[in-house]
Amino acid sequence: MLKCNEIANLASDYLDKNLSWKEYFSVKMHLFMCGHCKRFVQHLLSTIRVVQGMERQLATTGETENIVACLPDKNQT
Amino acid sequence: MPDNQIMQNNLDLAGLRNQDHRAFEGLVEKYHRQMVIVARAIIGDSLAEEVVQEAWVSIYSALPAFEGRSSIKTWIYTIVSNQAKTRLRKESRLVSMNDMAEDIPSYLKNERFNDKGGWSSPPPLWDTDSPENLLENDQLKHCIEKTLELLPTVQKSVFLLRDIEQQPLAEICNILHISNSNVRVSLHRARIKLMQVIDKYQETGQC
Repeated sequence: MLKCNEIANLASDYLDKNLSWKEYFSVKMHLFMCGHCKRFVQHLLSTIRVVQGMERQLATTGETENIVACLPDKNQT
Repeated sequence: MPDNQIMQNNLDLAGLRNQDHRAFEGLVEKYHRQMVIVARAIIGDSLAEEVVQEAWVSIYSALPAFEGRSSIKTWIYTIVSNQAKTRLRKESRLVSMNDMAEDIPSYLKNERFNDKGGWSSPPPLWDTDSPENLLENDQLKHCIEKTLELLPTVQKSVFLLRDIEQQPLAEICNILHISNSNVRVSLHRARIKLMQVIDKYQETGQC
């Protein structure tokens, strides 16, 4: 049976499904029984989603023209 | 020539090798944002755009010699990553690629747990854990941006490449030349540090 401190260390690997089947199942069982760890993993997932949402809001456009305008002549290396 | 040698990820490889501007525009549109993230991760925000501009020129010049032994994405990532590292050395601000001994987030420290490995200081309740609701708070977003900016280089780059650019772990190992375990530990620490920002904001209303 995994302990809470082990769950804290494995949480990212669990979210990324980067664990063996046995480890994944052990984490899942622990989360089923432990409210604190369940909250920890949920907050970690929400954090990732929040930053992803922020980056989408910051997405830049209109760079292509500037880059192509600065290219050297063809085959001039 | 087989089809996959002509087209790769909807890019016109033959046109790219021939330095066709339209084909090149397609390449820039597809990968510029990711290139900036790779460069930002290695050299920081202020010089990233400049390094990427230079990298695009190098890529354009080298395209006729691109043999397709790796995917074009891996090839251009390698070029921008090498140029960013070279520039970093020139700037004499070489940052250690090994963050492993750096500050460990409190959630991963022993004092957060009792002798039996259970929580002695469990994660606090948040008013909301809905990403949509959290994203409505501009002050919180400012706190997160500030923390992201201050993360150690490797943690920041791994976080951006994995969670923003959705790159596979193996690809991140190749781009940054670090081990799989280093990538995983750095990613976890970065995520937890960002989570602690929200914890603190929920408790105090401040960064």
